[in-house]
Amino acid sequence: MTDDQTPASENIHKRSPSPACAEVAASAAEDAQEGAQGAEVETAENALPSAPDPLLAALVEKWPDIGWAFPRGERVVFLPPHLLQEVAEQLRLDGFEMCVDLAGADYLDYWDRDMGSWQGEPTRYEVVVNLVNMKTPGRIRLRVPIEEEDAVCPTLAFIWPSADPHEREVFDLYGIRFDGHPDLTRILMPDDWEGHPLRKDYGHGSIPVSFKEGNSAVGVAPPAPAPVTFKGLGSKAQSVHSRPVEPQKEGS
Amino acid sequence: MSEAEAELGATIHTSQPVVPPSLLAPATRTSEGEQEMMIPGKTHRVEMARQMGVISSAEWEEALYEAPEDQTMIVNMGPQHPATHGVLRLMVELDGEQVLRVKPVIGYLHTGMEKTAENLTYVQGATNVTRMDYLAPLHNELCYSLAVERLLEVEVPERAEWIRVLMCELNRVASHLVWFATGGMDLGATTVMIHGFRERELILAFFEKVTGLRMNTDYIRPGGVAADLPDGWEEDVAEIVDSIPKRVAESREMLDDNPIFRRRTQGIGLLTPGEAVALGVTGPLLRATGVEWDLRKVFPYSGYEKFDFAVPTHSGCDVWARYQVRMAEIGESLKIAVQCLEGMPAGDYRTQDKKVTPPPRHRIDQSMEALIHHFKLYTEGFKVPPGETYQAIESPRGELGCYLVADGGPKAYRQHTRAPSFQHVHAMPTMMAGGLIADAVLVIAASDPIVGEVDR
Repeated sequence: MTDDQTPASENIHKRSPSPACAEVAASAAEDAQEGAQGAEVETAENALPSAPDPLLAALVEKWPDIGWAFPRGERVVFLPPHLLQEVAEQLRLDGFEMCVDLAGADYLDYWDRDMGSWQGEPTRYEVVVNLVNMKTPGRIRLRVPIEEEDAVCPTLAFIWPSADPHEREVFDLYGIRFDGHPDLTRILMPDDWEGHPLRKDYGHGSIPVSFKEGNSAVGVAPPAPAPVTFKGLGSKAQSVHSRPVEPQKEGS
Repeated sequence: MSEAEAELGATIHTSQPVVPPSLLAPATRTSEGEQEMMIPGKTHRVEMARQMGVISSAEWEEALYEAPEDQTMIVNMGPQHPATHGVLRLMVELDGEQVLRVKPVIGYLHTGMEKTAENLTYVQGATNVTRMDYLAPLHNELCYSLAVERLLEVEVPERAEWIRVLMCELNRVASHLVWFATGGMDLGATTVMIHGFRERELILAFFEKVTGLRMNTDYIRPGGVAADLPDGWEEDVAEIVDSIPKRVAESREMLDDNPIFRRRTQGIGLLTPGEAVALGVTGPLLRATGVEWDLRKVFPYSGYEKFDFAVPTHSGCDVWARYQVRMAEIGESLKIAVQCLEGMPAGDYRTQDKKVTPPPRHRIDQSMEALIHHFKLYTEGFKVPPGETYQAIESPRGELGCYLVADGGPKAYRQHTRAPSFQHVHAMPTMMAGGLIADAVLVIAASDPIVGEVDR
């Protein structure tokens, strides 16, 4: 949150198609700076150990419900799902313009993990969001504990479009639903796949794979996958499948 | 129209979903529906923009929304199409030859490598990740090893770091040469293809000499590298850094001033810096939009701060700019290789921490402890203290990240790889929309997707 600007950030804002957005970001960065200064005053009276990082301190001061950790100099924030969009929006305006990664984790066998100053109960699932500040290079990681019974997390796809495919992947592999996601479908597994393979209680190796009908390990062949259809087509539209191997290119 | 644009501009950066659920096509309301494109005439304009990955250009959405429905055609490009560089499938909606919408469908190469990683020890883990991005195996290994070492809090000797940098930079050159070769072939320039693969052969021969394998080397491991550089490596590297610039210059003569190549690449596949950042695009694609962002400079790892190199950028935002950036990066990587050649420090090539590094072979015959250590390391593996970390490096394609959770045991509790190609595939709709179907092939080539790491 310093004032020095790298050439990279200047380029982004100069060439950004929405200059209004850059203005908002600049004003928000000033607000956040004031917030950070306020936090330094506040944390002296706070009973909890104060965050060693000004950004973490500012976030904790603004939203007392969130927890923080600072392992090996990495900023980590724990926050409940209902605060995610609010905090994410603030962080984006603070300069965390790129959401590089969004992953899930299933802590079914590892409940006693270190969760920093997080006050809530440990949950089975977590959604982990990695953000990058390109203006003043830095990273922050958001860990969102997700309950097992109602595994729902608000979507970030409208704050960072890059979160969209990652959220589909987490939904596909962990079964965590992203509330408000515009196209929450499976992305890596087939559409008709049952279960979510990266869950810890998903028995790997126990799904019989049959390459021929009736050739299954348990004698029952799984249903043949339904072909992907093109329901989006209008009645007058044509559908043309290109040949599997185009002749003019190298064979593969 | 102005009202619609105002709505788009006002809502596109807010945290609330901009589309009322009633306006979404029925398929989107189901959680496990089929992967399909929505009905053009019944899709809300903003939702259409989102589906295309378009963030800013309102004109496109107008055009798309009013596209006559009965003249469009959906063509499946892939998954077996050779120009898709693997088993990537793109559903392309065409109006004549113009691309209206694109939807990438991935997963054809999904083999559950993140699940596999949870059942492998940290010693075996590098063998797993090296198969993700098979054109840059050493970068995958480096990323994974750095994450494990950070959790272990193990210091790597300086020579090991320099060997890693040397190998990774040569790998970057090899990867860009393959990109150059296959990209040229997508344009019909088969001579370029032959040249690119010929020059890469020099580097792969060197890899084979050092690691024993041409690809999937499993050379960089937690704690250092698997073996020291062989005798005579200086001559090999000297030959590489001497001959490749000349040969690349020779190949570039065929392309740089070629009017066909210029017209096929300039102004094609546009991606603005704002779109690139919003879509999570990194690496040469981001630098080809004029953003000077290279993790080797911004968050130095493995001693990159000691090396002198430039970060090439280009403000073209098109396929031509990506070509220029990658060609310049070959030169910068070779510059780093020269510095490694001149300043390679002496010393250990792996850490002497006995809990991480197996004892040398001859010690096993002499020492019971050495035998026990060796046996324990290769059966049970070493234990990593509990914790979680995210380590990112600059692979030839962009930010390659490794999110690692350790629970104190000898196996990773969770290992997630942030693959740059995964984001680039999902940025393709933005780059392709509005262009011609023939240029879509070039957009794929210029993004350099490796489906192995997209699907993992």
